[in-house]
Amino acid sequence: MIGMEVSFNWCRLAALENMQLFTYAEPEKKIPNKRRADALITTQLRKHICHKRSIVFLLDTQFSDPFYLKKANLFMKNVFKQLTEQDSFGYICIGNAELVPCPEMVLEPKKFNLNAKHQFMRDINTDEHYS
Amino acid sequence: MKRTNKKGQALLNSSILKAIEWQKDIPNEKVIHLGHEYDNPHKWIICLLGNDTFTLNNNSVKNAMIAANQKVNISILGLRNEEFGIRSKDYWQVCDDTEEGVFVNIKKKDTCRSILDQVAITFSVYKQDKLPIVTELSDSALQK
Repeated sequence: MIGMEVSFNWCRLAALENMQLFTYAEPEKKIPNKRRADALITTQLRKHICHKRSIVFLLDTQFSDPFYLKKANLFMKNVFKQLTEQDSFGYICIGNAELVPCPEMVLEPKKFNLNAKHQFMRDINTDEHYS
Repeated sequence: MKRTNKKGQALLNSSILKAIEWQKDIPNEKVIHLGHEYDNPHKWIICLLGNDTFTLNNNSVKNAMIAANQKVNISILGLRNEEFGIRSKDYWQVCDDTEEGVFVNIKKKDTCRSILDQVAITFSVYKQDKLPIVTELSDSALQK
């Protein structure tokens, strides 16, 4: 009986590495869409190898329904929460700048001006802001 | 309130160009793994739009990327209870020109959350997990 602690990411990484090694082993073999398949493998492998992210959000303010505004703001907040301190975050308002506490935040590591960023995320996700 | 002035309509395009410029200031590191060179960090521009009044020029975005020598992925999420109109083709084109960018028009409220979660996966990274612990039991244990 073999007991195994399930580690999905580890298995996924190992599978992708094996797939890439196969592509190296058979460079001459002509497979339709091989190039595309290679690109897909490297794109997915990169997510395992490189962990740093740099994200700029462009956020509209004019939504047909407050529901969507709420979802958009919450989506940005959730992604911001998931970023590590080494990741970079930036934001530009592409709607009515008077409706948001801050029209833009220059792209910089998340750890810089962290309190201001947290405050901004809180402010745009309050009931007062939606009303 | 609809955006009628040209400046307002061009705000998406000019903001994308500005964001590409910002991304230029974030240094790229090269990581080699199994003989392949990867760029670190992953650079993304995520646009959350409430309507399709914004104009977008595919060529100006492409040229800005070339000028900045940057590989930036662009995703555009349209959040409106109606389908985006004629400009959605331009939005799709800009996203499609990037490696991993997607254009999504979310119309139904009930599927909004799950679609947003799926979009979030496109720019997520997978942290290193510890190695699985494989425990082989003795033959006597197997017979029990």
